[in-house]
Amino acid sequence: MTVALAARGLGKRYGRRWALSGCTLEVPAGHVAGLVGPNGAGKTTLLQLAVGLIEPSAGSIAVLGEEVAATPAQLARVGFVAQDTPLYASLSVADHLRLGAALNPRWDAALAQARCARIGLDRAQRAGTLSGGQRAQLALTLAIAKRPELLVLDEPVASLDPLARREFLQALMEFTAEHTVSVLLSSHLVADLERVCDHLILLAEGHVQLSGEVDELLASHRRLSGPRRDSARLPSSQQVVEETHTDRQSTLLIRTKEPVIDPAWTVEEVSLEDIVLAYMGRPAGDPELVKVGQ
Amino acid sequence: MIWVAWRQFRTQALITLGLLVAFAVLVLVTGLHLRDVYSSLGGIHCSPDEACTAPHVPGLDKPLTSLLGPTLLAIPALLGMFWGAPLVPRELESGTHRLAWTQSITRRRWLSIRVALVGVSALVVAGLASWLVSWWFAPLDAVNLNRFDPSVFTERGTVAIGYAGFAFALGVATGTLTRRTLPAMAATLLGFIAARIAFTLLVRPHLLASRHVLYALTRGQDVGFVGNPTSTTIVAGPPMIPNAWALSAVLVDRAHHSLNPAQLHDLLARVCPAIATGLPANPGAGATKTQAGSLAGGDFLTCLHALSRHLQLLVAYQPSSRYWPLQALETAIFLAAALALIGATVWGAGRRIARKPAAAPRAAHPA
Repeated sequence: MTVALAARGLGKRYGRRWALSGCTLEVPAGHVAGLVGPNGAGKTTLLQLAVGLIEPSAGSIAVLGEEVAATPAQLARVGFVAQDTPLYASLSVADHLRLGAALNPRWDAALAQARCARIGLDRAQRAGTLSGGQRAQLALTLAIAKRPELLVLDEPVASLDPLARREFLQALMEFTAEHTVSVLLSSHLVADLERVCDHLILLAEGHVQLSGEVDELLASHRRLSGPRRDSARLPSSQQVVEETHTDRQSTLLIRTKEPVIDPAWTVEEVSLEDIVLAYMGRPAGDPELVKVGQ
Repeated sequence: MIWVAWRQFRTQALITLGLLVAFAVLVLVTGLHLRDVYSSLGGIHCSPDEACTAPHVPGLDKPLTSLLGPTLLAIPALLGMFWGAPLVPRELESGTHRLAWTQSITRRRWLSIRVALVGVSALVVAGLASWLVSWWFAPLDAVNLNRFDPSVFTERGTVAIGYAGFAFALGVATGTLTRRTLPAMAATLLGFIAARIAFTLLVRPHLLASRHVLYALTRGQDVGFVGNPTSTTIVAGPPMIPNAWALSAVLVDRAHHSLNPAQLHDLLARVCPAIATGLPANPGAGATKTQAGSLAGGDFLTCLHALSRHLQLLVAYQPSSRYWPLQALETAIFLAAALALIGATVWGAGRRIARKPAAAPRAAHPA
């Protein structure tokens, strides 16, 4: 399997503050990978490194097996929708499409036209007067009509209302269904990602906390609740991600590959959001727990 | 990319074109009127030794003579501030660099093409404006014969093109370094003014080796005597040479050797003792300068003529024929500096431009 994005010891420093550090990560190609983490976790930094808008201070990053943004050919393979979907306010929708056609050798004019028609964008309207949802749709159109092999989206729906958010993700899903493309999508809301992603990367405080396929994450995590018990006395196949204790009761979120058979526990399945929140609270980058599915 | 560069430049280009057309109409209408007035009064007459006479037209030097030159001086600075400085920061400030630089074009190429289009336009604008102003002033310059005067030299000919190129390049470079429009505009203005002053004072006088010519002492300007409590000496400025640029004048003896203050004092004491001792030697009053008029006029002139048998003025100057070589050289130097700035900026662009992550205004995120 090819690799969409591979980072090794990747770090980015602004002044004395590391926005991202020690980030080692592989995003397999052919997936819709979600990058999740709280605000300030380094998501934007990681994605901007991935599209070459900024340079790493430490480590290395390769996208689709090549150095980032080094050549026009590499730039052509990666589509990017930046946070807040920047567009030229004084340029019309048609101008933006012409810009995309002029700057991208693999530009798919028919796809761009069809999408604009479907969204109902007035080609003569200036981008500055579009609604937030329309802006995001136009930005997505520019990125996908480029016919990239990897589509990178930085919180594309963060500023959209729920309806526009659903329409945007719908459009994204249609595109990934019709074309062979890898997607790396960030959000601070797990709910956005749950619907569209099959791979999840959790970033917190500049470190990768968790990385794996969504199905495996869901299959390998359970919530146990029962009489109070010391978590050190669990079987070695069960790793504790998060634990809370009251006087009488213990609630644990564990990771295990085997079924839990202890009758003292009530075993529940957990949602992706539960898993993400549990890992988010853990100390930075516990190496034993980062990778799932190997 | 050329279409993209043009589309982003279009509004500014059209505004500037409008201003330039208005400027051209003003210059052509008043310039033709100026020529009419001159010819109706008998025109300009030049004798073989370049001394020209023209009818005096009262009020002709107002107000355009004092407006057109400064306008031409301001144009390069304005081009640098409004075309050069915002070129990169405006993208960063609006966040659109994240759109532009993730298309299938390298950042260097993107910057090169935009800079080439806007930069060449800046040269054309400055060239046209300078041509208009030079044409307007031609009849006046033919009379004034002061083409090397700094305010005249820099407001005619080709140098404005060099200035415009340099100011534009400085704008692009400071904009790319500061990544913010307003500081870049301020830095461009200050840097451009500093470069122009430094060039006028320090570089232009040494661009070409000067020629030398001997003049009689009496031809000098501001000839006089300077006395202080211990000695008295002679001072003289270079004479007026039509359309030439007199750089300096040195007092030399008949053997063409320059004289130091002590020797001048001795000579003065020998040739005109009345003046050497006659200057008020006020202790503590500093230097006193005496010129014709303040001393008994007869004494002064007698002394001057007596001195001119011993002293001459060795004048270093640029002849009129050096005007276009100096214009071309100054234009070329400013353009070369512009190219160097642009080259360094484009070369460094891939690395430096976007050090910070998108500083775009963040919309409030719904919870």
